[in-house]
Amino acid sequence: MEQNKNDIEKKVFDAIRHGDAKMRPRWYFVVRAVLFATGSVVFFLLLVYFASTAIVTLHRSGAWSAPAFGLSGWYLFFRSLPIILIGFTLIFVIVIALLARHYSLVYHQPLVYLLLVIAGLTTLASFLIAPTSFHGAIMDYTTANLPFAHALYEYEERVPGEVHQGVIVTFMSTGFILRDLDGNVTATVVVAAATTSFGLGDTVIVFGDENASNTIQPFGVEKLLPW
Amino acid sequence: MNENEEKDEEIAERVQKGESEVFRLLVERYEPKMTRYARRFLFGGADAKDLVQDVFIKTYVNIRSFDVNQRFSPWIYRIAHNEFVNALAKRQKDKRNLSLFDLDVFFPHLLAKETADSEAGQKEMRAMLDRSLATLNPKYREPLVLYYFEEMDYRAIADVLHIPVSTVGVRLARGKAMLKKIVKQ
Repeated sequence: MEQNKNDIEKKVFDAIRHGDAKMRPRWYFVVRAVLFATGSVVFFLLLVYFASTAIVTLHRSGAWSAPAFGLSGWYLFFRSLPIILIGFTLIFVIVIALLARHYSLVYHQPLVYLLLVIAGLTTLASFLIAPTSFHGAIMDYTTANLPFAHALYEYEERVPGEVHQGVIVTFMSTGFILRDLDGNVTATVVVAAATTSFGLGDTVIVFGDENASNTIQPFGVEKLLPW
Repeated sequence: MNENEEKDEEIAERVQKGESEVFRLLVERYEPKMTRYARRFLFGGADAKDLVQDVFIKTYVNIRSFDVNQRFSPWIYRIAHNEFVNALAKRQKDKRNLSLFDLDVFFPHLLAKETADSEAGQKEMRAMLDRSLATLNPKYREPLVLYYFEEMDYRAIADVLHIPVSTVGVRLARGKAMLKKIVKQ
């Protein structure tokens, strides 16, 4: 035992004396801590970016409002989910959870609390950013300069056929006429008069299949919010 | 003050300031503990001595990252834990439950009181542990070794393993139950 101890001590001090083991300077740890903290913040910002992009695309596609109209609405909502964006969001949640567990304040708590805090902060930040002009500006920039990145915002391909966005151009006794946002296709939307709280020129989302005679018997109609 | 009466944290601070020679005091104090911890956690791997040596070299290299307002003991044990877990992972036969994801740390647990076992109870548990260490899963083996042989409290074990304090209680309770079952068999 004593021999073992002397061996270890001797080898450790030989390594120190010969310069094989050098004490790292304090600035090394300061720089490392700063890089670690900066990295954590950057990953959190990326997480918020992907989460808010998911919210914006769901909103612009109209699927965001669908769950208000029952089971058919929920089914439509799930089919419209931006899987790639949600995948990125989940990956960044895991990365941030792993980074945060470096701190004693975090690893002393159950992991589920950390995930709830990350989810809460991300949701809050995403809902604050989504209605701003931020994503609109990024969309314009990527359309012009980064077609690959713009793919993240391409929601039309994910929107199921029973979601129709348009402007109300005429009211009739059975409903209203809808002109789509490009202004060249129209459909007749059949709705009970009691449920229409819309006015001429309102932009709406209509949920329901369109038949061969361009008539929609919707399971839901919702006014489109500005963002 | 006599150097032998100096606290670990005070010695570490002197080393940080450039008195490399006093690092010897820390090596002398912790060498028996680290060797014992390595032998029990790795149960007699031939590489235990080399690993303990690596632990001290890493401690020296990184000593300026140690916060002298914290306790030195959990800090050096954490370095040892990382070293030993890496060694275990390299051994093909012993990759049981060393994964990153663990349900024990995922959900909250009621915090079990730190049970003050009687002296006889502690002795009995140590004897059982010595006989059956190799059969225990490393996830349960390590907290038992730290608690019964290194005489650490739950908080210090939580700092070494980077897990919640309540999870330490859960692993100790499960580890003890497993040990008793193994001994009965």
